[in-house]
Amino acid sequence: MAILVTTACTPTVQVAMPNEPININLNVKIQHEILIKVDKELDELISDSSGLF
Amino acid sequence: MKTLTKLALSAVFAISLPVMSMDLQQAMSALGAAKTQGLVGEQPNGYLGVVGSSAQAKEIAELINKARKAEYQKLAAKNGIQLADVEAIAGKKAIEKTDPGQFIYLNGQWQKK
Repeated sequence: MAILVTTACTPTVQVAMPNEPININLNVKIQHEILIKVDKELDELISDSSGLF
Repeated sequence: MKTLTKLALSAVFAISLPVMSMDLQQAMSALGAAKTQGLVGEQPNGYLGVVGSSAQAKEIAELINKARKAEYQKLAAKNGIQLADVEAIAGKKAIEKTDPGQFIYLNGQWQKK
């Protein structure tokens, strides 16, 4: 009786490897770094030296 | 009669055409005073706006804004981003750096910082 209970359906999870390579999109990070760079360049422009601010 | 009409017309044109009496260098020299006097102020779009309606302030703003746009365009091209993005960051910064007592354009109206 006890044996019957423990051998009852054991769930199996199958993990299949994807056929295609995994793409990780880094555009967001690159865009963010560009904005930080522009931010710094604008700081220089605004800091009186240009005379335009 | 014809010459009179011509004279009258040319007089009208002389008045209606804005004469740029200032160059960029002069506008840059006058900018500080124009800001402290509350004639011009910073806007979120990255450009100067005219607070009152003084012709001189308008001229200063036009000249400075033209030069600013050229700089923004350079930055945008160099970094491969949109001009609008550069303008937005610049506007935010310029407003942040505005001295107390000077004008900034926020929520659709000029206000003293």
